[in-house]
Amino acid sequence: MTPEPKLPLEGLHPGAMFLATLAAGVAVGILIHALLVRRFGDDRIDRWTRAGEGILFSLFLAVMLLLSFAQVLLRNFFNSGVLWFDPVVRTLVLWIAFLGALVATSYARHLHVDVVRRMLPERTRQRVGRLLSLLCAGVCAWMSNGAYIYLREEYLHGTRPFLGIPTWVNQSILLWGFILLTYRFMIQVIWPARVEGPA
Amino acid sequence: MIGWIVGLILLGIALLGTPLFIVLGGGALFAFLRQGISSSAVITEMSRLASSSILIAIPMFTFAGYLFAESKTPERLVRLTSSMFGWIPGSLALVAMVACAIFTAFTGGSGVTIVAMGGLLMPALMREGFNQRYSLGLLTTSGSLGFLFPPSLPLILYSYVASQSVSGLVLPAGSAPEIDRLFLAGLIPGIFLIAVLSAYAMRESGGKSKTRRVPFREGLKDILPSLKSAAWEVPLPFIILGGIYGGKMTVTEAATVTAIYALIVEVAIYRDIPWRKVPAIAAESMTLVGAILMILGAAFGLTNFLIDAEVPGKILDWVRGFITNRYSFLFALNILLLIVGSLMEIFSAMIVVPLIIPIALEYDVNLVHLGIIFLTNLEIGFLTPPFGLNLFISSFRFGRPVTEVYRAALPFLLVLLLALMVVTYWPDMSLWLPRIAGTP
Repeated sequence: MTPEPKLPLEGLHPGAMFLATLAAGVAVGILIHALLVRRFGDDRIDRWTRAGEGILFSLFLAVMLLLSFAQVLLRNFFNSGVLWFDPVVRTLVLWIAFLGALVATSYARHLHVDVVRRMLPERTRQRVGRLLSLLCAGVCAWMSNGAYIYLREEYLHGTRPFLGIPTWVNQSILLWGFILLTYRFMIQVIWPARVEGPA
Repeated sequence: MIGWIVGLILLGIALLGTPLFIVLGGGALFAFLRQGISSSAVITEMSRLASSSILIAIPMFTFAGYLFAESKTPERLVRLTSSMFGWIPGSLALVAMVACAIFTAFTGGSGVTIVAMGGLLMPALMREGFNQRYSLGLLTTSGSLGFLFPPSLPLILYSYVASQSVSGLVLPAGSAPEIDRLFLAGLIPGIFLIAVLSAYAMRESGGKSKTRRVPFREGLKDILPSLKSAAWEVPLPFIILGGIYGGKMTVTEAATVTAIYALIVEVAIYRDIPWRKVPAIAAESMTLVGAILMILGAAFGLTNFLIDAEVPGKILDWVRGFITNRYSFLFALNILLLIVGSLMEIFSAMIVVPLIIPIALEYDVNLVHLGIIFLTNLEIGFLTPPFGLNLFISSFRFGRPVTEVYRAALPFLLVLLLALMVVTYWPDMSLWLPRIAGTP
């Protein structure tokens, strides 16, 4: 019997304490963002972000494609396979989901209904948009809290489904994803997206 | 009472344009909170995005779809189709629909058809003298026409979800919702939908078409060259179907092969897409995938709550009160699915499958037929105001206000509703082919 593992952030309790820390973190993030925009200008930041997204997505996709294609070949021609290929690819689906959601947030490209909003006058529309982004940030903060609890539980379970990587690590995107989504939506509150809809 | 109020608030913020995954996720968080269950329950459900192999097919097919969209595949596809059908008067409408249907099937129905084909077909239709509203309606409708043809991802997902919910039950012969049977069952209804729409489109455009039609012989002459120019794309459906039916590949593997094939063909062979553009296409397609998967994940959370609260059983009890036979069930089903289709995109709509199946079994509906009804209905639901997804995609793609798209799509919607009646109340249209093919 291994002794009860100690949580990495033992003192940081889920709930109010976690949410306050999150709020502080997001505030610092926004401050840094504002400073960067001031230093380098909107356009350059935009270009860098897009390039970074492209690289990350391509990396994830490339690994997914290679592993699953290798699996197809192995299965059909050599009648074998590698056990950890499939779980790695499935985990990447989760990572891609969150990365995609983050990008969708910064360009206001989430699937949504915009009949009513289109009918509003320009100024009201912008105000409503900011208010809703604030609400989204709230829901995402609440979700981060849920993810934090979930990962703490997984940490205590200590399952390692593949390659000796514990579940709480390979699914940690659930936490980072929602934290970054909270931050992204707050950015939308302050600087609403300039583009709407698929470019 | 509080539940109702929160429900109304959620509907309100959804209408105001809140991302749907926030609406679904927020709803799930709230529902769990009221039951005193931790918010981590929603996350546990979301983590299921990493637990199913079939979901891998979504990014794969979408990536392949965007590659085809960015390349000259649409041109080659339209050229090939018009060489075959160009001699029919007003045929461009037919060409547009057939090409869109094939493209949708190619890309697993992942919602890129309007984006991919629209840019090419819209100006072509306008040049031929179709008016703008009409062309807009036609392309909006064509965006989901391929759902019934293999290897449509929605059909695969239906089969997956339905099989899960009937596992362990003894089904009447020919009713098990297996994917090969569904693929066969979808063929005739799918062709029927295209035929009905084309008949309508050609009647509408009858005298208006300005350009001369391609004479039959001339068209015939172009068949070979156009086949040759699309020589790398034409085999793809056969590779996929052959692989799946021959038992060589699972559907997920077929999706992987499609993505790799698209990458090699479009980037290395045709060189339609330079390598340096691939990361941007990856980012573009994965953004859509992210948006879809977040909704699916949030929907898992909400379904989990609904099943915990025994909502399917309650619906069944309630339904028994006024639905007395199969026909009234099918009618109610049509109405329900139209609403669902107009509210959700196809992957989130899958959450109602487990709710419907117990009722369908009660009224003796064949589950293969149910799948075809389900998808035909969703196809139409996507055109149904105010929320139908195609309406929005089309409004984005062509930069027209969504209200204009409503008006444009309405006549097509009505024609499709008539076709839906036939598909729904004539089960043999769907079931005849799997039966004679003798799939046990």
